[in-house]
Amino acid sequence: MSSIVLNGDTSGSVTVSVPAVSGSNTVTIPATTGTVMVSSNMPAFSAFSSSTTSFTANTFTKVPLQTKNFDTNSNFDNVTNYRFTPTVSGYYQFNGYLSFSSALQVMQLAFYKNGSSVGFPLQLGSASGGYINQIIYMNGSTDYIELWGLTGSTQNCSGAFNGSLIRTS
Amino acid sequence: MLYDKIIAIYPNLKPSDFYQPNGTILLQNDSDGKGDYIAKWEHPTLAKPTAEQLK
Repeated sequence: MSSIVLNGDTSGSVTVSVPAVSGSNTVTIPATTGTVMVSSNMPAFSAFSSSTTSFTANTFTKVPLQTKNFDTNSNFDNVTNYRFTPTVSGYYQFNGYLSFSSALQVMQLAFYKNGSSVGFPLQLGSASGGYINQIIYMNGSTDYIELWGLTGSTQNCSGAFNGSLIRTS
Repeated sequence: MLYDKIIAIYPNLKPSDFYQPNGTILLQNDSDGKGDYIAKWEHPTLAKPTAEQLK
């Protein structure tokens, strides 16, 4: 394996390595300023409800998400606050899903950033489930995101929530 | 439940009064075991219920 080591001005280094495989490949670096993303600075997570939770009628409720499929940067709290607080700033794609036990009433879904709904909630009439997707900027330190929902009648709910950094700041 | 108590106090309230973003009342539950609470009360004519009324 051939490598190039780039030393930092004061400390540290970055090693660029080429695997010892046959063939010739090309990596093109764009002629513009930016940050190269690698897997370790692109947080991604996926979590879901391990059991249903009773939602009170017409009350926006944070969706408990107790089980993780994956959490590459340990940024998702699946124990206390059920929130994602990424430590890398940038624009994240978030996807949320809610399922209610019946389809008798209106339901609303929203991502809450730092305690407030991001834009208008998605509203569905007489639905027992729905998806919400948004690209949201996160500052990489204090910003956090949660999945919330509302149903027109008291009933059980479960959900799923996932997201990933799609570009840096 | 908080919603039921509010409706008992103000039976003329409609479900849409609680839907966001246009509803003037926002009830929330943080799923932290502390229960439902009034996060926003901006109804133009009805006063926010007191703690005594909600007992």
